[in-house]
Amino acid sequence: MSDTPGPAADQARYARLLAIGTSSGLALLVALFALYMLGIVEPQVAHERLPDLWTLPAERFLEEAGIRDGWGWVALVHRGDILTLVGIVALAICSVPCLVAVIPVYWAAGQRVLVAICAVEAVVIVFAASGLVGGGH
Amino acid sequence: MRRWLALAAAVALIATVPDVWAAAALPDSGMPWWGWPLSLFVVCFVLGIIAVPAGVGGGVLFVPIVGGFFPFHLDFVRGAGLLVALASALSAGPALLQSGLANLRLALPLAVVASASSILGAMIGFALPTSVVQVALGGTILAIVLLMAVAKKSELPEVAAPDAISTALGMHGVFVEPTTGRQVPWQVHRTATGLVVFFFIGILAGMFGLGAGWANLPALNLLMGVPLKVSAGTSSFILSLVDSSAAWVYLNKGAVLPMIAVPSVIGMMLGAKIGARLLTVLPAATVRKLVLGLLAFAGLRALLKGLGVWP
Repeated sequence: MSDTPGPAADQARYARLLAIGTSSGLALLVALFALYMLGIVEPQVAHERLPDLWTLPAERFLEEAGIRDGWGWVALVHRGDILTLVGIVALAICSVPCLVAVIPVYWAAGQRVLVAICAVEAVVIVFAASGLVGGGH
Repeated sequence: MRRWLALAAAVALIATVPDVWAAAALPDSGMPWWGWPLSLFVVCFVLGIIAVPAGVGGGVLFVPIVGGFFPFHLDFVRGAGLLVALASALSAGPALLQSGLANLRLALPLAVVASASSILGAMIGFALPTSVVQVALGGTILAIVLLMAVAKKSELPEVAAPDAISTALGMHGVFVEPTTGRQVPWQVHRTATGLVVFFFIGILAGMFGLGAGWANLPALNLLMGVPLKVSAGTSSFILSLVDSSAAWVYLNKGAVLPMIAVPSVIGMMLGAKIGARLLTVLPAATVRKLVLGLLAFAGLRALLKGLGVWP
């Protein structure tokens, strides 16, 4: 809640987009996981093999499973377990369109500092997603 | 009486899954592969139920408990913990923003700092040996229990004058008390210190995958002088941005395993819906004490596991 018209508009716009992004992301996640869990889409790592692998550090797991780090998983997206990551990606990225959408609201209100902050936050998330830091190429 | 019956039912629910706890403690228990995600779902469902009346985030319960009693490597537990916290925060976000309980202008500057540092925290978590992360996790959890046990809250903190940074960023608003309809103007002070504190909160969130509502709330409420309800709502909203950044590092590192993460997210979210309905029935203070006891036990377990005393 705010005492100026600008922020009320920003909150409403952000909330509307976030609701769409979150509900579609969660629905996608559950649907793709069902395909994987029920064996409808063949996984990269067989279900029975998982208990031997999930005790390993992530790096060793990737080696054993034949999956590349970073965005390397995209090459295996036809596999059930990897396909489920698409739902997780949808949730992890859904804040970015919301941040971008409120920039014109702040711009119109002359709140340049908030424009910059929204842009920087979106860049931080995209930077994290790029795999340039924290692994992956 | 009704409250105690409900509490007894919750305790009984936990007690009905002893096989899960027992099997979980033994990696070679012979449980079929599907038993693990099922157990995880049940445990997360129960955690989701008790987290709401206890006023504790699901992520902070998830990592030490699942990390301590399930055979998964800590990398995957931290990755799943982040997703549990992220999914919960994203789901709550729209309603919090629309009701005004989360304030975008207050959240954004703090989230930028914490998002960036959460990436750093996640990288530190992957760079350190697992035993060191485990010990640090145990110590952090025990500190969180202490913080939750002793930290006071202030419904409407007194802020004599806003500082220059909060004024420039427009970090103020009017909070409408839902029960009375009273409009309460609020403003913020100690913003520079708040930004520094959120930098460190981001590191912890990224390093351990805990979510960080336990730290966000006192930082906003007690340090920066934000009304308690706005602090709680904004804290949750900040998590949605901070955990998004850190989650990407875990994804890039291959530390998000759908078979662990998805049943956890679904279980916790369904449990939280039941927990919210039981909010008026369960004795919140008693549940909170039980949860803090459980968290202290899990923190001790993580500490001893990291030290090799209780492998």
